[in-house]
Amino acid sequence: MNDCQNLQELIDDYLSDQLPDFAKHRFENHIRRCVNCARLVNEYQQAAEMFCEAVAATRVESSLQLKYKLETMATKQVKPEQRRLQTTILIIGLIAILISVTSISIFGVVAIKFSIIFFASLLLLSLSARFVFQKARKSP
Amino acid sequence: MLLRKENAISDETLMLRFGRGDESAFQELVGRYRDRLLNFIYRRLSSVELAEDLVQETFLRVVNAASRYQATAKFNTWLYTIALNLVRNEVARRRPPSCSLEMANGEAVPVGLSIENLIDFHRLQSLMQELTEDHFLVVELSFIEGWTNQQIADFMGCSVGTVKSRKFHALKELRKRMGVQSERLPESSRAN
Ligand SMILES: [Zn+2]
Repeated sequence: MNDCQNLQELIDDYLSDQLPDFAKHRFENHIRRCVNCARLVNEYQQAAEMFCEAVAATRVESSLQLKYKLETMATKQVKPEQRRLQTTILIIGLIAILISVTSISIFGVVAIKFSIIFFASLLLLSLSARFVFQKARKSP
Repeated sequence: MLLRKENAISDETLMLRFGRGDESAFQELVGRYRDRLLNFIYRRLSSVELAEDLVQETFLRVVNAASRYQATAKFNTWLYTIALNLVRNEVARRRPPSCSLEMANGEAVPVGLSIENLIDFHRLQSLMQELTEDHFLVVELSFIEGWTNQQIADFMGCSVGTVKSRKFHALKELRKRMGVQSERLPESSRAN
């Protein structure tokens, strides 16, 4: 591989200052001697600048609406711990319904009273769990 | 190009914090990427409104995936992959496959721009047309987003060598175009 070809592969690293010192010196020595490579480096840089200018000219800013929507996006979202709690309550509820239905079908009317008490205590339990959870979240 | 402070918290750390319920970490990420992402999408869809919708959709996916996020991949690579996929879906949805080559004609007229901005936009679009999608993406991620070649390689699923050669060829194409532009200038205004 000759020096010129070698240099072309290093232009990007050179311009983004990624070359180690010895390679950088070799690079600079070469473009001092070689007109073609010096021109290539220059053109590479100019092309990159032109590209950046063209892109910058079309830049748009976020609207207030977008800013607001993104600000409120995370707040609306259900937290993972909260989701876990909700799932647990749902599963307990389903099991409770299953127990009540079976007990009513086995023991008849007597079990209805038992079911009402059972559900009321379950509701109380889930509400207090929610309260405790929210309190825990607010404290740092 | 924005250079981040050395001691700034990494995107990945912020994302992990957000996954554990820290909303301010999410706001920090939004602050870092909202405008960049908006412009990244806007350059491809020519409509600010649509680009804003897709920015929202991108961040919504980030929010939904937050609790499952693992810092195995770079956050920005992941974020831009989501955005680019949404853009590709949108382009496919908008345009019947039969006329996929008609980029500049008709359809890609930006909405709500002044004449001046419109000229700038068409200038960029004609530049984009000189390059393949991959070549454009490489120079964009490198010079506009300030990504390293390694990051671009990870994002595009290719080697660093391929990124370098794509960048070199893209700039060669752009340079050719620059030559065309400077030939149009009067003799006296030329540099050489
Ligand atoms: Zn040379």
